Amino acid sequence: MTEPSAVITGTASTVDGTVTVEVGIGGGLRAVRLTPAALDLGAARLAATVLDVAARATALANQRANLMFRRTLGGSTDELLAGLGLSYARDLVEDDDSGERGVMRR
Amino acid sequence: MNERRSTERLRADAEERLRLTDDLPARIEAVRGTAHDDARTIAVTATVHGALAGLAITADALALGPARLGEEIVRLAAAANRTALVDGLGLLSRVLGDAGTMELARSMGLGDLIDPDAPVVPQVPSADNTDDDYAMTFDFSSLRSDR
Repeated sequence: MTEPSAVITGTASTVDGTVTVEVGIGGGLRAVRLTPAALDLGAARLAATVLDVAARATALANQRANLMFRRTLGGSTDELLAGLGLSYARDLVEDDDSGERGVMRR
Repeated sequence: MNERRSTERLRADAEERLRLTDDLPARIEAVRGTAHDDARTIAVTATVHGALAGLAITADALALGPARLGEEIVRLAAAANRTALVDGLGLLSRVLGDAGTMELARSMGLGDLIDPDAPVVPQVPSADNTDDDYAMTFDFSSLRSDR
């Protein structure tokens, strides 16, 4: 049996692709990929951007975990995942690929 | 009289266990760990799940270049996560007792913190110990808290 957390990830990027973050379920960082242009944001804005992109990647990973558990267990797993601290904000994963906050996801 | 006291004690212990576990998920969820690089140009705060909860970068950190800066953020996030896990385990230790805490520590990849020679003291939550500070004072070197 494959360990779910080993295969479920969430990845989000800024629209311009300068900042990409990949996380596992719960938001554990797997990779932060920056382009040279990302450094042009300056330290403070870059930090805020990484946080924003990471939050969206985390929401996506948690949403995927939710869907997988729902398929496996049947019924709603919202309460179960919330109890595990793996809930997610719907507004972070329902955007189109070019949301108003300038973040893409995949 | 003794039997009555024993019944009261059992009830008090049970209520203490309920009290300890009632808000445990919220308390664990609130735990944060922080790590920074040696030069203190990057500081990362993470949850017990490893999610980024805070990130501070100084202008000096930008000199690392994009690749190394990204790697450093990931490395420090893992260190911050580990710190949060240790504190989270401290919260759980009051409910789990020494043996349960040790087992969980190993399963969480924190087994290196355990002193193999430390005595494992049987412990369950009881009304005798209601010190809330206990939860954050678990000492892996002795495998028991300051209870």
